[in-house]
Amino acid sequence: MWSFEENAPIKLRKGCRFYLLAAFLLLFGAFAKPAMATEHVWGCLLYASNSPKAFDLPPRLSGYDVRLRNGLGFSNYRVIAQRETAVEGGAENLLVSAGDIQVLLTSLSRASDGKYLVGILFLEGTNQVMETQARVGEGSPLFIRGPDWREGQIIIVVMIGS
Amino acid sequence: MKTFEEKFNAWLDGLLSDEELKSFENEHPSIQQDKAEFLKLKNLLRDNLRCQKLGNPDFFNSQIMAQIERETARASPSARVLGLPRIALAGIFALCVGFALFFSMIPRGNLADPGSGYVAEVLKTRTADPKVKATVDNKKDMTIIKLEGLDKLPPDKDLNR
Repeated sequence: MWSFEENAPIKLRKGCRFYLLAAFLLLFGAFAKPAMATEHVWGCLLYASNSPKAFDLPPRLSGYDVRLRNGLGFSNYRVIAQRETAVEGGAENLLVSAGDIQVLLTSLSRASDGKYLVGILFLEGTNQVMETQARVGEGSPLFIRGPDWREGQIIIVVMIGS
Repeated sequence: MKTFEEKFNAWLDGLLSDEELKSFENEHPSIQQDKAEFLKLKNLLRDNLRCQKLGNPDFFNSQIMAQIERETARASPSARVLGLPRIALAGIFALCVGFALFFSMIPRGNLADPGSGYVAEVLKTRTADPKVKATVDNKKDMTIIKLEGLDKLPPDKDLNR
C-alpha cells in the first residue's frame, strides 16, 4: 500500500538532485570553454583618406571613428576587403587580401589571462614587408598603417572575436 | 486503600465482601439509584449502538487514508512546498542561475567607455626591408603599427579584386 510518509523523503531527494544537477549544468555551461576552441579572426583592409565623400565604418569598428580620426589623421574610411577566418590549428591562415596585399596569421594561441598571442605577416606580392607578434584581447583591433595609395593610405585591421 | 471508582466497580460486579458492601452502601446512600440509572443507560447504549461488521473493509480503509492525506496536504501545504532543504536548494539554484546569467550575458568593462577593455600590445616587429621602419604608437584605447619607408602603391593599382 502507498505510504505518504515513506515516499516523501524519496521525492524530496529526487527534487534535490534535480536542482543540483540543473545548477551545475548551468554553471559549467556558463564558464566552460571547449577544449579545442575555434577562434574567429577578422581581417580588414581600409582605405583611409580625407575624401569628402563619407563612408561608414564596418560594424566591428563602430565606436572607433573618433579614435581613428585622431590617431591616423584621416576623416574617411572605406572598406576594401574584409574576411573572417575560423582558426583551429597552428597553420598559416590568410586573414585578408586585396590585389598584391596579403595579411597572414602565422600563429595564434591563448594565454592564461584570456588574452591572445598572435603572429601577423604582411606581404606585398611575394615580398614580406613586416612581421609582428602582439598580445591582444578579444574584440580589440590592432591597426597597421600600410602603404600610401592614391590620396590616402591602406590601413590593416586585425581583430580576434566579435 | 481503594478509590471510589475501584470500590464502585467492585460493587457493581458484586465482588465486595459483606463488610465492604455495608460500609460502601452506608457511605453512599443514593448508590442504588445511581446503579439503576447506570444500568438503564448501559442497556440503552447496547440496544441502539450495536457494532456492525463492514462488508468491504479495504475500501473503507483506503477512503479513510485518502481523506487523511487530503487533510494533511490542506493543513500544511507551505510546509511541504517550502521545507528548509528545498528553500536552501532553491536559493543555491537561484544563485547559480544568477551568476551564470551575469557572466554569460552582462558585458564586462566600463560601458560608458567602449575602449576601457582594449588590449593590444605589440611585442615584436620585424621588417624584411631595412629601409622600412616599423614604429608602435601605443595609445590607451588604440594601438597602431606605423610603417615608414614603404613604396607608395600606384594609383591605378586595383585593390578591389
